[in-house]
Amino acid sequence: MKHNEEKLYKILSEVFEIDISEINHQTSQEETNSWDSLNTVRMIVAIENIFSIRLDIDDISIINKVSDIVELLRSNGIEI
Amino acid sequence: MLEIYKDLSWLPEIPKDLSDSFSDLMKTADIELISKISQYKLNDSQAKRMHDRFLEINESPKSKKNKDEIKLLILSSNTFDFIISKLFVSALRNGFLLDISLLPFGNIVSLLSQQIENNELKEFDYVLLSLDYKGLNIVDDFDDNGKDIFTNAINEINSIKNLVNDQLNATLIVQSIVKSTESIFGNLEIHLTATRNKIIHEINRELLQITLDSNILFFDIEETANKVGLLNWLDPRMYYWAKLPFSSNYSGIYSSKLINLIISDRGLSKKLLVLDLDNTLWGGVIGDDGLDGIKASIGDPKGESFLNFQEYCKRLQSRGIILAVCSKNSPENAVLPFRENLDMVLKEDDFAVIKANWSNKADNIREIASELNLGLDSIVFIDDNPTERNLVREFLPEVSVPEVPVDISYYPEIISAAGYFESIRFSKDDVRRAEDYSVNKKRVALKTGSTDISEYLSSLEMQAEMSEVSVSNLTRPVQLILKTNQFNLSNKRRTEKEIEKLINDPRFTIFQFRLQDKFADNGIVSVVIIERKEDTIFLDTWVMSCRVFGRTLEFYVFNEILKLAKELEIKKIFAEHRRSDKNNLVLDALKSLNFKRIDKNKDLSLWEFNPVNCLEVPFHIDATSLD
Repeated sequence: MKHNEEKLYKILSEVFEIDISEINHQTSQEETNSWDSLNTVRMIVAIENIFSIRLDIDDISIINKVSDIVELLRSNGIEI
Repeated sequence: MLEIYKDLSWLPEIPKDLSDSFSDLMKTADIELISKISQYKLNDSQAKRMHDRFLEINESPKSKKNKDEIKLLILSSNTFDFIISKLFVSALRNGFLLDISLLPFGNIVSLLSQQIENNELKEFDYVLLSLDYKGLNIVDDFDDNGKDIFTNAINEINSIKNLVNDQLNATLIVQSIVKSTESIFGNLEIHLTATRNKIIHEINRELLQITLDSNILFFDIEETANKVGLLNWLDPRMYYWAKLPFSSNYSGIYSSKLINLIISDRGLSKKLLVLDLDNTLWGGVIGDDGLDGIKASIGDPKGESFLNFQEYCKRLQSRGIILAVCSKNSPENAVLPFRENLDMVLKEDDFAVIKANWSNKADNIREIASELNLGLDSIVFIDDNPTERNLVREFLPEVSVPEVPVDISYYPEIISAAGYFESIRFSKDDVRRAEDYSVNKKRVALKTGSTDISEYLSSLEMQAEMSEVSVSNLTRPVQLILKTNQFNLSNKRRTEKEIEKLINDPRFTIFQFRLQDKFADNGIVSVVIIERKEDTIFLDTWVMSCRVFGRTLEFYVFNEILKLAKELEIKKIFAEHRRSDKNNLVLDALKSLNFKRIDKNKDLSLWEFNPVNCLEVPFHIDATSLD
């Protein structure tokens, strides 16, 4: 489980170009400058590839902070 | 297998230490280091970071760029932001810096003409027109049978083509239109009537025709999309979410295909395929397993997959790609299967060089390149053994060495996906070239038999023909100008479009030379562009194929120019030599011809010849009208 969280944080750190230590469940789109719409798409694509899942267009629209992503992953059967 | 296009599986994985320190590495200002890392498989974020870093370095006035730069303008009605960093990385992998501009959203024709009018656009080498059926508004049309929709789409593309050709002076790249997965008929979808996909089909056929009749490049992305499978290629979610024209999983292959096309237009596609033998052309080790033990026979599943790879290589050879062998084997064992196994598709004669010995493969490949007078950067090397692949990558970074899967069945797919041998034109001379390299072995045999070089040259019974290049026969001359690295006087790389201009310019004349000997017709092997300036002739371009080095053709060619100069009462013939790391032998030719150097520049030297002088070097070629 810890392992999957690490994988997710690594994606976020790469896409948003921020240090892994700055990321937690409360990290949100508002407080992260580089979290724009283009990078949201990059993040979605990376998450889908790394976790071998496919998200719906509705899912993508509700993502606002890291905990939303964690919820989404859980509802797709990923233990995190 | 299906992931070849998604992962670009022919690229080596990025080593763990580089991947871990990627962020730190991208703080460098060293373009060579960035370029080295671009050879590996990179994910979207890494590609983006690399591109961003380059843009930062580029802004610094001190930035050193010893790489060629290509300027590309992208015209599209979709989001391209995800693709540009992959495009940049693909170009860098091929040794170019790609400067990419995007037109803002809106109607392409009006935006483009507006920007041209306001002088807002800089100069571009290439303009990519990337459209889809949504942007072109292609819909079903049962009333009018699709005529209006077809005409409107073609007209729009033609208006853009005219703007680019007349105002921008850049080479246009037109992308084929990808079909839709949504069908309303099913089986008869593209046959019955004017459905969306049927109209797309017709438009693509017309686009191909338009591009073949002009100097526009046809970027057949539909073919790639079909190979990937439209259901994978298209991602409707991401289209509606962010106007992505296709799934961003495929931005890597899209970029690679586009850059291959540009590379090919610049004459830099690969020419030579060097192959390992054991476990690459047949299963098993001939030295250990013997003729009966190796797998290369019909009826055996594994054997047939090796034969299929041989057939693929044979097909490449038949379109002009030169084949060679580089194997750790005794010379006797290496040729045994070619001679004794009748199922083998490839035969000894298909290879221009066979190197079978125990020395290291980097040295062997270097020797193959020098025997064939080809540059290392024109070589692709295939070997099942990862250690050999890494050794060659390490010592000969110019050579392309694809990663290959364990299963030989996918080798042809890897080579075709990597697109090493992309070609924008095809002529009979291409076929002749590969044959000629094999015949060269016989010439070498004759040479070994003759003691005197001029006796040998005379025994070749060479005949040459000079003719003027016109718009109708410029494919081969352009190819020669683009591809020749060694015997290249001025290193001016002229595209088909530029040559067309010169043909229509009365100051310039372009001559091509064809050489034949008793073994083969070598086809067009030398091109000279002369510019007349009052009573002087300036050799703007002079190239000669490395296949005919050492046959005195350069003296024959110059003698023809000299005859012309005398006829025209020319006072001086000038030649300007632009030094590259490969074209020193042109200097030797100029000296032998008795050209006198008249300046002292290091990299750009000016030479003159007084036509009252005669040619003092002999040649062994007769002039004949060959046709």
